[in-house]
Amino acid sequence: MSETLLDLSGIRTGYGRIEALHGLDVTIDKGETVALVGANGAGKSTLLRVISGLQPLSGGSVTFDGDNLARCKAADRVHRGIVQVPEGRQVFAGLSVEDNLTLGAFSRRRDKTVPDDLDAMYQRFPILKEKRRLHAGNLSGGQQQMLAMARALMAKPKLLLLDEPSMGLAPLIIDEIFGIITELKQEGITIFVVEQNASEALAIADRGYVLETGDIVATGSGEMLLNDDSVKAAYLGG
Amino acid sequence: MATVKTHRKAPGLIALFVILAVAPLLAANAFHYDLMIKICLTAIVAVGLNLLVGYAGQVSLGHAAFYAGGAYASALLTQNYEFAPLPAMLTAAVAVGSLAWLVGRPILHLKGHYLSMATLGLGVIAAIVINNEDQITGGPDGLPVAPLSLFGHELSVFGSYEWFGMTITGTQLWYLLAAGALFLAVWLALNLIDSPLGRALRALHGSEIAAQVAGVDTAKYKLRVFVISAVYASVAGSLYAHYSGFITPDIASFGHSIELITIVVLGGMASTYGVILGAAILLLIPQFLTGFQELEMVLFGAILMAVMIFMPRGLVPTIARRFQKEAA
Repeated sequence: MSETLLDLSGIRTGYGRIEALHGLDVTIDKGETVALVGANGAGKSTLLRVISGLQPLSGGSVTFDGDNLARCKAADRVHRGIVQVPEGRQVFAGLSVEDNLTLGAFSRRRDKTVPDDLDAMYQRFPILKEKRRLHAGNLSGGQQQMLAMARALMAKPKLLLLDEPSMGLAPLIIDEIFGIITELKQEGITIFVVEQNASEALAIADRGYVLETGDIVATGSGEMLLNDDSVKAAYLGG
Repeated sequence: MATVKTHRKAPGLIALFVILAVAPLLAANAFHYDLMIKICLTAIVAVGLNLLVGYAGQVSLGHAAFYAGGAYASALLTQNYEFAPLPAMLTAAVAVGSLAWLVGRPILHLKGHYLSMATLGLGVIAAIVINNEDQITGGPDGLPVAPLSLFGHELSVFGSYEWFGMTITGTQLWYLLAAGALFLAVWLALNLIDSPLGRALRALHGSEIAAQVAGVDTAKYKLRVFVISAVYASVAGSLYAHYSGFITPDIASFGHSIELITIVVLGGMASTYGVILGAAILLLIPQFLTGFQELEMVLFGAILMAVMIFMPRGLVPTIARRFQKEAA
């Protein structure tokens, strides 16, 4: 039995008077890759915002590495190792690629090993080294997604949250991005990936959750969900 | 943190130094010096305000209150409590910085432009207090201020000083002081922009969510830069008080706050050198327009509108962009 890294229980939150998540439970073990799939507007991004501390809770609790995060601010959560790659990449367009990466290590800015990590990141993503002086806004969508992931890795995450990494990318690029995610998984990083592209996400995940209008409606191993008839019908196009 | 130098500071600073050093050659009389001193002092406020507006993306509509706070605190501390000007200036800066911290702390946790509303209110209150507390502030009649003295040497506008065998007037010496202060203000601002604080500010201006998930405590850094910009205004206000020798509630007016914001937008947000040019232009244009008498304000407004329509990024960033395009 492996150790629980993240435990969400009874999560309730909403926007104004509309409740978006109706008390759902999710657990992620250390070293696991977990996928959360669901349609547009199901509350997938909201759940990631809750974990990152960007969205206030109206009920339930977030426990990370044994600590309750109720009074932990977003910036402190990054320090603890919860790092998100936000939806739509959100690279700092006006900053150089290198500044984007340096900012990723903002939570460890007094750490002397940051320059080494920067070199390591350039080895992993040679394209970023090539373009390191360019403004991040000038990169292509796929390169921006790589930059956003590299920026998150600079924070040395214990739990990496990926919000729709395939959004708006060409199929070939999507394969490349999922290839990188698989590599990260093999390196032992715990990953929680949220996707509309359910088949790709479930294929690389150990376990999966299916979210429907604020409630978890199915859970199981990635393989099992991929072969589940109702999931197939709803999210995998038959 | 690995400091990756993205901006080379030396060329700009050297250019600024040369311009500040050469400017006196254009000055034919004391009036020209007076104008240049006022441009330098206003530019200091603008450089500070630009850190807030151009980098943190927050708008203050009450910076005149911080400027007036520095001016009045310096005046009152030197006059009534026998502070020397320099300690008075520092005390004023600490007091104004604390006020900004108190106002900014609850506000900057909110997203959006609530800081504008709060500083608007603060500015109006400051002007009312200065106008009405006439036993302390002299009210609308204003307040005389002692001349600046540094380490026992008095620096009066009306004096005349021997320096390495040269005779220079008090006004000329004041220009050197104001220009030196501006140079220092710019140097500090550029270093700040290149520091982790500056990188955090530029990040949160780009995408607040991404900055937060990169571990930037956005509220904390916005507050920090707000306090810094208030201290810039306070120090410039203290210098102005000693220079002019007489201050009135006008410097705390809403109009003055708007003028400061106009300078930042006109010169170019997030461009330190741009806002200095903005300050120079905003103070110089009225001098050229005096011949038009009652049309002066109309023309002034028209020029500002034209700049904003044709150069929405402000003067310096627009021009810099054009040069870059031609080079490419």
